[in-house]
Amino acid sequence: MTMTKILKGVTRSEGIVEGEALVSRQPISHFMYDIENDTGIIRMVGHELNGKSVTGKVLVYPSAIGPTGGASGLFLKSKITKVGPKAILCRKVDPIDIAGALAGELPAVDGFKEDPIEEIKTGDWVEVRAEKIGEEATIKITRHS
Amino acid sequence: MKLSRHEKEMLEGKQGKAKQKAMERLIKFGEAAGAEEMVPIVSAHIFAPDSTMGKIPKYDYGTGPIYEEFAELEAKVSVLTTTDPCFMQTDKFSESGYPWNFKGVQLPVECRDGMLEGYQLLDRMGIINTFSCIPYLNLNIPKFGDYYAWCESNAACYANSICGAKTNRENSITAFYAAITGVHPKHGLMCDEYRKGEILCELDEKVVENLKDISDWNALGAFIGMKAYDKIPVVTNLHKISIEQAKALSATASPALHYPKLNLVGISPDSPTLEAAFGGNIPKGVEQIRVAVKDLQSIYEMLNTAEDSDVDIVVIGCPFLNLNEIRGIATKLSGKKIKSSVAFWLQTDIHTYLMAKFLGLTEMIERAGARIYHDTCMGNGPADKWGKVNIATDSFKNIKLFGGRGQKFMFGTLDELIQAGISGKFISTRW
Repeated sequence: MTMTKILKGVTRSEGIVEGEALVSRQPISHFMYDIENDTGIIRMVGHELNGKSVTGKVLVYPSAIGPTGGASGLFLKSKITKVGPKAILCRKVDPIDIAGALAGELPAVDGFKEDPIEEIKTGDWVEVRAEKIGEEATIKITRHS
Repeated sequence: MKLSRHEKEMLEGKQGKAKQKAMERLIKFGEAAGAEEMVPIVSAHIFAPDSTMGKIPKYDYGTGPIYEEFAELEAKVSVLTTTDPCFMQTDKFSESGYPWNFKGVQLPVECRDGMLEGYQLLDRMGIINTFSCIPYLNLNIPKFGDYYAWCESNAACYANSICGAKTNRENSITAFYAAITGVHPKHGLMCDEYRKGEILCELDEKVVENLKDISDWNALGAFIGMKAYDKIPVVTNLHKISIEQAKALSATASPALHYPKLNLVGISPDSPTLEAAFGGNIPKGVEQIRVAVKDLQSIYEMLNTAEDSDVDIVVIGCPFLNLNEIRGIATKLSGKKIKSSVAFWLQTDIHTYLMAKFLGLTEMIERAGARIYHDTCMGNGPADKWGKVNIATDSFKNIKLFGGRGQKFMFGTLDELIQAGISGKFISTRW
């Protein structure tokens, strides 16, 4: 069976992409020590996603944690080494990640009525349409079961 | 976004391509972050350049490509701009026993060469490579009411809480654009409405009496930060605070406190009274916590994670030590000998290091078998490659921010740390 769902949020960084969801209940840091720049693998001891790769994923998490260098970490992984996530969806996109997403040219969305952490499950197919900063973004979730 | 004439000129390219590009990106960020206008900044404090400048990305912060792009546009900073610590002290690249060259782990030569390349790049843009996490004590000193774009959390917290200056812990990208343009979108702690206290932290008299060592101030900061988390705490019953204590307390920002601001009643310039600390009126039913001595003790317990008492590293200076602290440590080390199996590291900035050297303090430290270095800190080193090590420190930030890479920690007072260095065993006697 296939289930689809639409969420509406607010665009913090623009882009139209689709990909598989990776959901974290814990906050994420895109800093070079927390997600490796050359592999996209999360290295946060004790984190629920420790050892998992963010590469090509639509990354769903509450908000940012850690150093302000998370901005340049997200930029480098997305734009230069190409191991970053395809999009980020948060309860609130921290300004650190807004800056990283803008420079990395990947969509970032928050301001959902629903909790994206609850609505999206790891493995879901997610289509992100975030066309203009500050305006409505549409997230289409497809789940096969 | 509302722009001034000067800002419009920058956006139109009348002041060069670099400022135009930086303005375009700042406006985008501002729109996304909900800012309505720009504010003029007095100074910027930015991330260090990438260690390898793209040669080995896993060692890079990610700032390199952006700095390179602007250097090529012949960008010049508009305001005083200093830098945060970097990967190593480059002139001692080959010397062993430092964080960048410890336990047989050596950083690749690309790290040093990339850094030297990065320094020149920043220098060309008029940026001063201070590589310091305490800009507020040397050169980049914040003033009450002014705006700043600083990327270092502990420094932002000191600037907001002790000086009454206005800065976020700004991200590593737009802080640099602000350096180029001299303006930054007004958001977060730059807005007065977000600077008000939101939770009351009353200190027991016994807590105040027990704030003796820097580690106690770190424990207090940790406890308050963990309780307040994303609310600005109003702290009462502190009557006096030294520069060193304020530095330790401010370092609670980012490992524990989300927004880098503590409203210390009677100390913070914008919080002369309890009412002022809450922005005029104490909100009805405001959340309150009372901090007791047992709460300080609980932080010591939480931060002591080592399974045995053998010490591999003693590290002091996160945030960096000032000269007063270095003098105190050098005096305590005088006539003593650090055990050869223990790495005893003191961390500071180059300003302080050079003065300590001039005064003969670095020699006193080295004669005891300890080491003092500048520009970098253990947290920037390849700690994940050292295997299982026990690290003794008095810094909460050191443990929480850099502690997720397999090491075990001991948290203690300065005297306990010096004793641990001499005997090779950490014994906690504080409580």
